[in-house]
Amino acid sequence: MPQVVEQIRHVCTLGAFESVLAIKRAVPIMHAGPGCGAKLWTTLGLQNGCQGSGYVGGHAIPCTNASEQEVVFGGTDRLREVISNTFNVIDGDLFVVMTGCTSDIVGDDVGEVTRKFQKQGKPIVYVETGGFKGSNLEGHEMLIDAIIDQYLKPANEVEAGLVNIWSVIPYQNTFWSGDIEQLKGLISSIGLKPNVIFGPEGGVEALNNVPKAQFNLLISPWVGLKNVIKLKEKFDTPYLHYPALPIGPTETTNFLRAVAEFAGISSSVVEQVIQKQEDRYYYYLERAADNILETRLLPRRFVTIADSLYALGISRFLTNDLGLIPEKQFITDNTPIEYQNIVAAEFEKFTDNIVAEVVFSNDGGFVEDELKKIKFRSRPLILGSVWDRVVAKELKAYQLSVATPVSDHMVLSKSYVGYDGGLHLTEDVYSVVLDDFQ
Amino acid sequence: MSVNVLVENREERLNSIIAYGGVSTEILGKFKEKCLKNADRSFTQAFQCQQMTSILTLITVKDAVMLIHAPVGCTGCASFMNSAFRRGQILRGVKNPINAKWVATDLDESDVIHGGEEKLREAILEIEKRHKPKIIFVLTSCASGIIGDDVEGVIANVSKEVDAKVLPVNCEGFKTKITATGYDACYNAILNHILDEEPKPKDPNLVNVLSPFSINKKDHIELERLLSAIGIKANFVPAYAGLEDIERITSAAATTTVCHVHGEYFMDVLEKKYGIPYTREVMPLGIESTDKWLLEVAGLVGKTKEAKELIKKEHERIKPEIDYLKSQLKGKRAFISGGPARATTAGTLAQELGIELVGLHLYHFDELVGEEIKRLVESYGSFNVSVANMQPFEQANLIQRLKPDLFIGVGTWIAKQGITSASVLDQLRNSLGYEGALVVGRKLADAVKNPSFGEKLAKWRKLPYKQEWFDENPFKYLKLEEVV
Repeated sequence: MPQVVEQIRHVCTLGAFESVLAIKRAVPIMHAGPGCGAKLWTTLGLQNGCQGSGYVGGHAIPCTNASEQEVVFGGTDRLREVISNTFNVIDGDLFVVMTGCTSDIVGDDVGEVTRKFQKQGKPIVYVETGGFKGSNLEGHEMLIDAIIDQYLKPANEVEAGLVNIWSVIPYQNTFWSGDIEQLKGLISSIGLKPNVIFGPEGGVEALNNVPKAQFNLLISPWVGLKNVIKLKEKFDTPYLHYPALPIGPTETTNFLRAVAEFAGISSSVVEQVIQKQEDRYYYYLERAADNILETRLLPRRFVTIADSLYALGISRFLTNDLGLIPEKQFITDNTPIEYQNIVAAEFEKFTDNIVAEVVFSNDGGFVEDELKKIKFRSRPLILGSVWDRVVAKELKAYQLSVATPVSDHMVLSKSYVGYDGGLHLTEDVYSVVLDDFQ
Repeated sequence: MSVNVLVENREERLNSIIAYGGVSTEILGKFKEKCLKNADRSFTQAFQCQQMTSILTLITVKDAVMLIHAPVGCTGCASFMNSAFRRGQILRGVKNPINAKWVATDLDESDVIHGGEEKLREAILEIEKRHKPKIIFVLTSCASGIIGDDVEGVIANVSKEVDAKVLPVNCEGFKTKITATGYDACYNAILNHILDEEPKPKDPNLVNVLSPFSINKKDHIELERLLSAIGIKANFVPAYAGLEDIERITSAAATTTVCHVHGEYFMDVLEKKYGIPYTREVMPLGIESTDKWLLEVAGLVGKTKEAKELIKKEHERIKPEIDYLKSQLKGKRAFISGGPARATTAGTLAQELGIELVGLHLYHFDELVGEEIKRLVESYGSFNVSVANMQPFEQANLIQRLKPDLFIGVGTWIAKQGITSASVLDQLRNSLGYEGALVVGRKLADAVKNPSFGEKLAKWRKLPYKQEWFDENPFKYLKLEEVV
């Protein structure tokens, strides 16, 4: 099977500049060809829930726009010039130099250039993210590693109860900012103090606080595992790796119990929170049940076509709480081979011994062919990206866009995370079904 | 297979420039004396590349698949273009719109070291198997260019094994700073690999209308209406066209384009190679520009009388509403920003609507719009001119000084300065022809009538520039070479 990619669902390593933009007042400086930024923010920002690009995104990003001159003669002089003028023009608190293919292939010594600014005391780091090195999910890990290595300083003491949250990938995960707000709320609800770097309440100060956390909480099947291991090595901060994004009551309850146990919080505190939240969830679900059970319009079988984080979280909720049955689950985030087994294993942990078959492929063309081979006995539900609308129509499936690119919805603060998120996902899935009959 | 003659960059071919700051009378003077030199900046912000232009030129061609020989990120603009393509199909009455057919070879670290030629070959064969297209466009990238893959060699070999016509489009992003060069790369591929050596039999009423994908269906309908009213059949290529429409190009009596900056290279080649004459008018945006464009097209096919009559009728038809719009817009001070053809003709339209022009920002500048600048200087006299491939930091500084009432262009950054805006490039509504003049006029009048969105946003969100920057000369970072 030739390695080609149709219908992109992630971008290249350099796309991690979006994670920089997700840190308040942090500024990416791209040392790349002229079109890299525009292409990457199109998929991650503009066409992914209309998220936009924030404070210094889009065409505002400082960039060397490398040309033939830099490719033939090297681009370090040009980079030095752009960095130093960035400090004159752009109002920011942290600067991250990120390279594209041109620089990484010709071998510009970007580290050397950046270190000179670091020595002057400038808050600047660099990371070599030439697009051929991998996906933006891996780029995100490389970025966090660079910040840990080059920027974070050890803390004098550990702040009890402070928890760094590492999870969704800004802009790649369409609902990331809402998700972060929900995760923050969940962690706060059991008496811990969440420290979030990305999103509306994060920022450079939160980043500076990372080394003094009591522990790192990683909520993701694989992205970020390298980072929390590095943080353990460098600052001796323990970490809890919870693979599934908590969506709906079953997973969220498991999640809160796991975090509480790790943090040493008494179970009575946690159980009280859980009791209250589940009761609220079922207040609404009871009312929804009248419709769902009476009309029986809800499809029974579902397919997800998404990155591992969303695919796992959504399939757990639909199976464990809504009582649907998973067909093939397509993981489209170009999961590195070393993680594929541990990701696939998570899809064997559903209620009632239900197991879902997992297919790893970032080639939408291949996924489309595989979908067409599945024998659906009734109209299925497909949770994927906007690309899948065409094949969904062909298969008479109900389709909801939840993964990059999502250009058929605007997503601002919405999230499917937590108890409330489960309700929102139920609303959206059922609305797709209803809409089909209008 | 014919040899793919490379087209020169616009920097060399047309002396296109991307960096200038000054006033209209000065740039016109320098342009006339041929002493405008290209320059750069010592601080720059992210721009676009010619590969994006090539992609958007070809993405809607029917029965074609685009193969981007690059890491997966280079296809990032696919998602936007797919949205626009789907919308375009729906506006054209397609019930079940398809996705843009678009494949990346996904070059990785190993390919960068060992070369990506084998992967390219396999990808072409895989596309043939999956989609059975009539055309496969193979687009090069920065990575494939630097590692030196012999794309044309691979195509020459694999062509024997596939039914599709396989066309190389040489559009490495780092090779030019004038993104419009990407248009030329596409037309060059069409010229060298699709069109026959000898022209097809003439159709005296057929006129090619070169049209990029950014021209929406409403604009097509308007231009088609005007051309058919004077007995001209329009062959819109390459956006939304099929192989047959492209092959038909050489049978046309004349060629025109909705945007001279888009089509100039190809029109010129068609004249030289096949003797097909072409128009020079920049863009039919605004009343006078539409008149001139229509007269020029008509003149090439002997329909001047019909065109004059049509123009008279159209002027009478739109006058009452133009008068009303004038009453709403009179004396408003505008800053216009955009591609050179669209922004300059928008300047003429602004004048027709009674608007005062205080500043003009062009993505690039060259001889193709020299006449347009002259027209604007004749109308408005002196106004600020900036030439920049985006570089919003310069524009923000300029806007802060000029404090216009209205911004005509993409108003993303300008909104944070509290300025209301409307665009003359629209995916849904008209901007070209006489209908376009009315629709744009209405949009501008509405923008002026309720500027609250920007006013509120500006109170809460600032642009990412230091206060000190706004006190500096907006063109501080231009690196001007001394003119010898």
